[in-house]
Amino acid sequence: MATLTKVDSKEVATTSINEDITVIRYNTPQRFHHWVHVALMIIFFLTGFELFIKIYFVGDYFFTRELHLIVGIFTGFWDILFFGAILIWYRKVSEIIPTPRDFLDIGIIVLCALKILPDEKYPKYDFYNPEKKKYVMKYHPLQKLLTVSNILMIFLMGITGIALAEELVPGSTGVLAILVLLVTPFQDLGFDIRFLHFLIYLYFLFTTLVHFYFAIIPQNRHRLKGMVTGKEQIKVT
Amino acid sequence: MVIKLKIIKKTLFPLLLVIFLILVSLTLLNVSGVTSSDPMGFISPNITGNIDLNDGQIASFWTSIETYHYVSEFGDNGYVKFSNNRTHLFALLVSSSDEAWISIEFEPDPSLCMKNLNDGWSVYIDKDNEEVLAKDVKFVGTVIPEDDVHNDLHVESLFSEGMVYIEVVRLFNTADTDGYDITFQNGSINYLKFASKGKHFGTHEIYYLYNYVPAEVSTTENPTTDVSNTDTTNTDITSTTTTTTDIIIVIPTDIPDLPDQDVVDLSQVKFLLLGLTPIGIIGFISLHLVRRVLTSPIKHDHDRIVSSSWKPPTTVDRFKDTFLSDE
Repeated sequence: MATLTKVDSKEVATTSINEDITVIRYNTPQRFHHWVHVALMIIFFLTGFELFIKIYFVGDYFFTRELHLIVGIFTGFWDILFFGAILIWYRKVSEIIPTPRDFLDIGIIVLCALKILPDEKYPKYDFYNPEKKKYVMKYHPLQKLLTVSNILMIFLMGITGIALAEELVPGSTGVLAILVLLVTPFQDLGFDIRFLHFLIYLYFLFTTLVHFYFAIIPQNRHRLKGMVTGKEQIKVT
Repeated sequence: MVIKLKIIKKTLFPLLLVIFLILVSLTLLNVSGVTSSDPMGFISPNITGNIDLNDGQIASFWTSIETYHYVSEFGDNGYVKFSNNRTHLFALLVSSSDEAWISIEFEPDPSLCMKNLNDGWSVYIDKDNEEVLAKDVKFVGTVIPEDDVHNDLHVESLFSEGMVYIEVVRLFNTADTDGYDITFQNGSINYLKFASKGKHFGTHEIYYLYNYVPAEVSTTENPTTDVSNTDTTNTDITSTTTTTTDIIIVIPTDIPDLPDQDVVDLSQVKFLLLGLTPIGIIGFISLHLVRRVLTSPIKHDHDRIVSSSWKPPTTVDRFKDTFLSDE
């Protein structure tokens, strides 16, 4: 029968086989950031979708657009500035930057899923060092890729969003003119800034829902619990 | 060093909080700058095609033009689109067909409608007979606008599902000084206000109309517009009572530098992608659920405790372990 034990180096030395240890997976600022980010994404999806289908569940067009803009600016602060500060302050930048090994791991994972490689070859990506009380490796390679691409996409979403807002007041920021130059070669294909904004919306729709799915599957529920309580149980086998 | 770190740690989050509050304040200020009390903008993008006002349908290119919703003066679901080529301004006015009339005043006084001598359009909607009478008018004060001697508007209208769709074409330069007709041009910005029977006494927004031109076009000299090329036989007001069966005008092709070609209908592409994305998500999740959760789940939980001497595998190590090792 597994028991929960606060881990430190001495205790680990005496930890018996098949005993669970409890470790800190996510600190408070990380969790706080994550759940606020979730709330922001929900508001973003809803208001963006309302603007797209032109049906407004709460308020009218002006209210929805202003809410979308306010949440947009806040998200820029939250996911770029605040999240960046957390990564730097807690020295977690290296945890989320994909390495060449991560890209190799992604390929191996795909090959395992396709049964080209046996499941025994599935790359392990998640290790904890109880002596140093920290993870040596922590995130699934796709999680790392997702984190970095999310930051990039939020930035692009912000830029295209500013350009769209500028359409209401031409020349106010200059972003519109720059982006128009970038999409001009694709104009004959009907490609415009709003379409680019829409494609990024689809990116977030896809990655967020898939991320949610992965968070709730049985293999990852203890990690999801870690995002709520901060703690994770690790089996010692 | 430790004390310094503690001080930084204590001040970091308050500092971030202050930055956040400043950003939120700026956001609120910025957003309030585009609320209903201040001018909003209509981008009138340059198009490569022309409008056929004799085709019994609204031109397909409008689907790729920005829709400006919540023009409250046009009633529920009403909206406005603008576009232009190098010589003509195009507009698509969509309103409830219950509106007896809708009207536009160009270059109005910012604080008051119908105060100055201004150019304008008035469109009268006859829902029962499904007819639209478009008048090129001039505002001469707080009275019903006077009809221009020369009607420079060319329209086609369609009634559908309680809405009326009115396609309007006007030369940039009508040379009608008597009608106070303003001269549009590529890159010009003009004010305008809307009104309708249903919103006659409400507050009217001020909008910008911005004739947007891509950079490579804006540097090109505009071709001389010969007003006489347009159909001026329809100056009689009665003849501008337009239905889908009326022949008004087909704008001549005079855009030598931009190829006229089929532009992808982005709205349909967007709806297609919006439909395909959830299908893709559901498909991916279903496959993963069957393969990796139900039939042969990966065990993520084993062998995760390592010692301090353990090092993460390098890319080469991983490659060898995976592809070159028999284990």
